[in-house]
Amino acid sequence: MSAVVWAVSGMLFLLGLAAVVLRRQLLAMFLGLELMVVAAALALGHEAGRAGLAEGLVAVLLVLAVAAAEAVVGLTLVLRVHWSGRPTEADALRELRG
Amino acid sequence: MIHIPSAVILLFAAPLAALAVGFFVTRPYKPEWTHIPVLLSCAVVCACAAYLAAFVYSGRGLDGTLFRWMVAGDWDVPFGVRIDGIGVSVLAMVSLVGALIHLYAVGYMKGDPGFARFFLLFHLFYLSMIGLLISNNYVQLYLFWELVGVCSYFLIGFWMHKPAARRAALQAFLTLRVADLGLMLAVLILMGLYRNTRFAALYAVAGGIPTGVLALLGVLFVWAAAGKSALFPLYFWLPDAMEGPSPVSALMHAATMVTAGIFLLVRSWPLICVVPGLPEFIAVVGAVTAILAAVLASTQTDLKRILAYSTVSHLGLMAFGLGLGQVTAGVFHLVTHGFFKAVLFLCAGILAHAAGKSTVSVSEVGGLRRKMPLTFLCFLVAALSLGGFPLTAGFYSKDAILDAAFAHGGWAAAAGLAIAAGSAFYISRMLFLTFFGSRPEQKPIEHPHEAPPVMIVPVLFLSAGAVSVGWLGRGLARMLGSGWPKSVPAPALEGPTSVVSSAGLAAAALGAAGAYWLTMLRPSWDWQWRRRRPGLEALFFDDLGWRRVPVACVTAAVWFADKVGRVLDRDCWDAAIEGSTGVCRRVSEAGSRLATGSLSDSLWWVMIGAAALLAWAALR
Amino acid sequence: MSQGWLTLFWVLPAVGGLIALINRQGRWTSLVFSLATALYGLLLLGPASSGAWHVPVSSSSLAFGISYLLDCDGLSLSLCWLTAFLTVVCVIASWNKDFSRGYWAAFLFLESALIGVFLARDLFLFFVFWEAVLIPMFFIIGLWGMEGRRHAAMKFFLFTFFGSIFLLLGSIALVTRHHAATGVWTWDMVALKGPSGTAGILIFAAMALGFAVKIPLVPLHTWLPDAHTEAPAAGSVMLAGVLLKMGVYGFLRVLWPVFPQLSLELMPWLMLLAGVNVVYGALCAMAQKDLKRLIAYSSVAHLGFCLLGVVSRTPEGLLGGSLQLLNHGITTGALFLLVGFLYDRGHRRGLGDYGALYKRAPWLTFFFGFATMASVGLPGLNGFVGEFMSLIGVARVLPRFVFVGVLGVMMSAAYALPAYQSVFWDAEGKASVSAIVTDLDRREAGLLWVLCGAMLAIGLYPAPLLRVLEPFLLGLVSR
Repeated sequence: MSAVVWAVSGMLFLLGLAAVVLRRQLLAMFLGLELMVVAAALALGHEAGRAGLAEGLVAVLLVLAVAAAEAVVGLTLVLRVHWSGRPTEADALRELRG
Repeated sequence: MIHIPSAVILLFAAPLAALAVGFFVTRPYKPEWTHIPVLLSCAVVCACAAYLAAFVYSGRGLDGTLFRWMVAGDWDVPFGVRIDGIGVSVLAMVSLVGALIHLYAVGYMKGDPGFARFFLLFHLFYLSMIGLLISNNYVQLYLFWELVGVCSYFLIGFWMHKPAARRAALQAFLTLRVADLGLMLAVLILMGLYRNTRFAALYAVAGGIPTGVLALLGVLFVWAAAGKSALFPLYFWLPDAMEGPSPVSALMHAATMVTAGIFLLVRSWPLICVVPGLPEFIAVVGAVTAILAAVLASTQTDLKRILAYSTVSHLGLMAFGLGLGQVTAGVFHLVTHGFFKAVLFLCAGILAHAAGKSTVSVSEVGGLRRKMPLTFLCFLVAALSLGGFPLTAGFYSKDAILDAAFAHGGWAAAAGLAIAAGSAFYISRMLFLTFFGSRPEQKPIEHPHEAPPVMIVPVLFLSAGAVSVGWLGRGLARMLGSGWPKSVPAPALEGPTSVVSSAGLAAAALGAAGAYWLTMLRPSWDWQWRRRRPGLEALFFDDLGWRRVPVACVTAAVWFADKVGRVLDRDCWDAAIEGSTGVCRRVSEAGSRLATGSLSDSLWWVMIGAAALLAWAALR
Repeated sequence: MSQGWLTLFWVLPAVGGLIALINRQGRWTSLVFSLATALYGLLLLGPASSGAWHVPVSSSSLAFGISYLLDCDGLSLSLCWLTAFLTVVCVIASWNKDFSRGYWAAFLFLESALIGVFLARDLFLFFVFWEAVLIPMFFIIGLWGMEGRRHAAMKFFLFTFFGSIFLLLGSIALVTRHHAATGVWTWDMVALKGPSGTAGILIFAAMALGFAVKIPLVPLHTWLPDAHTEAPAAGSVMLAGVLLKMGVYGFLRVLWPVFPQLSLELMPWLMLLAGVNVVYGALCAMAQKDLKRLIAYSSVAHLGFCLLGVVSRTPEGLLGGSLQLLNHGITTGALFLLVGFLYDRGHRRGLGDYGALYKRAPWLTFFFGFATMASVGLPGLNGFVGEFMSLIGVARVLPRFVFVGVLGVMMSAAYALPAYQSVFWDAEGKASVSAIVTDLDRREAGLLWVLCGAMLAIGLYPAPLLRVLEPFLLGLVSR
């Protein structure tokens, strides 16, 4: 049981990572990010449930809440970029160059 | 709780009330009436002083606390009064002379745009001087000591449109500050050691204080007195202070404020006199000051400057008498000097007033005897008193000091005679040059006129004092004994021996005759030597070079401050700190090349970081 | 009495600040709230002097012993009075300024944070308020200052932040050490006891560094002249009047009770630092050509006096030093206010730019002369009492430093009076600038009457104020 959960969680994480690193589309990268978060939350929730720690489950809820908030903020940013007429691609945004 | 007579309270209350009324009522609405509350207050103060003089004369005294000024735990600095012989004998002189000069100033300052300001400052000074005399501890004395200094600053610089007045005011204040360092240090040392500076308490323990501490205290007191009373190293501010209005010169820089230093020494005498050698030191300082200033007074051309150097000389004489152990003689001369020097300054003020200027030089006077007879009369009386003519006040007080000098013998006797001769010389020279004859070099004031009654009447009263206070010597000696610590006997004033009197008279006559010879028999001599030897005149005007020393000190201080404040602080230290931001910026610019701004680059960095963390965790 | 009454004291101006932000009448809001705070402060005198909040037990802690704990004794209260009083003065002084509402709110937030600093008994809370003070001050300098305001604000922020880091590190080390030694987590300043030995010296030095930047002690002082010069007049008043006092207050409130032994052992070194401040500040002031910079450097010297007294750990010194904190706030506040009024008229601050102002602006001249005299320590005005009592404290423990102090008193005249003369008496100034200077109006003169009246009152009868300050300070006296 545990191994399955860990395997799923790890695969999700790696998929997300791959999406983030390899894709150039902002929206796709963003989806990957969410995948990674969910993967981590899955593992955490599983382990917390196994150990019977309520705090862990609370933390999972918190992570999901943060992920939701993040989705709102992230999508808003992506939309802003889109409306500003620029392609929603990662390499098009270089405002942070030092 | 000691009962404090209302006369003592009135000494503070009346001037304070007058100042309040003057500042808040008359100054804004009727500035030309400011003198009215002030004069009323003077009258009240004089009455109180007279009452207190009788109080002390009858052997009574008072030392009480009005309120606690500073408090820390069980320790405090009281604000109190001490009514005893020394304080009240000077207080009587100060209040009377001060009141008369206030009256004179009504005429002198009439029409001046700063009339109200003048009277308020003048009266604040009067209040402070009275407070100084009746303080019962050193901290309170220091309070009034500084206040008179500040009043002096604002009054010397009263006509601030004159550059010389501004300069003189600053010079006077800073010199006095340098001197006050001594008093403040002494007070702090006393506080640190005994946590108490009440005179009564200190007099009682004077014998128990270690000699080393007492010597230090004594030297600090002398340093402070040298500033305020214009003794040798620090006297130079006084002649320049003559830029103030004449009443100021008369009251503050002749009769009262400058005697505060002598008063401080007398107050501290029970502490000073037990230090071996210190009284002699004071006598030497006094003698050097007196002789040097007498020489310089003889070479000045400005009337008020002559008198200023004469004041320096007589302050030196007081210190001389004090140092020889004659406390009574010193105080006696302080009192008589207050009268005759005030007259001389006020007469010089009348001449200046007639000329419409703040001061006149000997080239602008001459032969004024007939045109200004009353002024001449007053001046003559005061000059005789200063010169030590028999039966005048100066004669008695100076002979008391000469007596001490002869008792000491040796250099002291010689110095005493030299001072007597010098005083007679310069004052006779001034008298002859001003009121007798008219020399070709002199262009007398046009239309000289006698001063209005409000000015001349006070001078007449003061002249009467300049003759008669000398007769009160024994009474003064008796007053001084009241409240004086028993451990240090205040010597009674004995009539000088005939030898001393005649020697003093002979010296004075010699001086006067010399002056007669050089000004009346050779009327142009005073101008001839100046023309022939301009370098010599410059040397005398430079106080034989001494004036350059303070100037050099100030220049050095300003240079040093500039080096510290501008070069070290701003150009080196602050510049280094500001420069450090540049270093930071360069480092961060170098680092910022790594930040390309590309999201994928950043992500690779995140990956590398995460991998490194994982590796570290795995290897640990 | 409950902590709520003290909470109200610092919350009141903060609420005022929020209201000032959201309505149009910023100046009226700030006036009403600053006045209310000042009056409320007066009401606290009774309970504060009876030790109402000085309860030995700490309330429930949040974590690691951090708790919301306020205390108010005479020292705190008098400094809060100073804060509240000067805030009212600042609001009235900038009444005719055309500033946005943020300006008025900033002063209320500043007041709130400052009162918090003086009331906090929990060290963590103290630190939070300490840092909170920076924010409104940063904006006051940076937004409403003179030409170089941004640079000055940044410099001010970086300097004080640099010090704060050490203060925070020192506090954490202190608390953990205390925990290690006693097993109790607490940030309560009354309960904390510092370790001895090298660790104690290091913690002491770190916290002292944090306080020293605020005072400022000499090598760390260069932010002060810039901040003062570029701040608006009212900002300078608060900066010199209250912010500098936080450093000395930190010494009194934190370091002395926490390190009773160590602070006595380090006394000669601290006194040396304070003495250097006195002389160096005065020397630098002598070299200045800008009125505001001159007064800023004179503050360095005056705060040196405060520290001299505070370091001596004698009743006279502690009381004198603390009183001097209040005195300096009033006197230097008045001076900065006057320079601000002068700048409003002539738009210059240089000593050589003005001349003979006594003719056109007699009241300005009068008040400036009065405040200058208080600043140079004329007896009878407030400065003397504080300086003198501080020096007595020094005389009792380390007499050789008395000379330094007296030298400083003397030098204060050497920089203040020439400056006064050159602006108000000398005729050499630029006539065109002096000609547009008008005298103080009623609002301005009224403010200065109050300030100068306070100077005179404290100078002549400081005993009541000293009695208020006494209880806490006498507890610090070394036996």
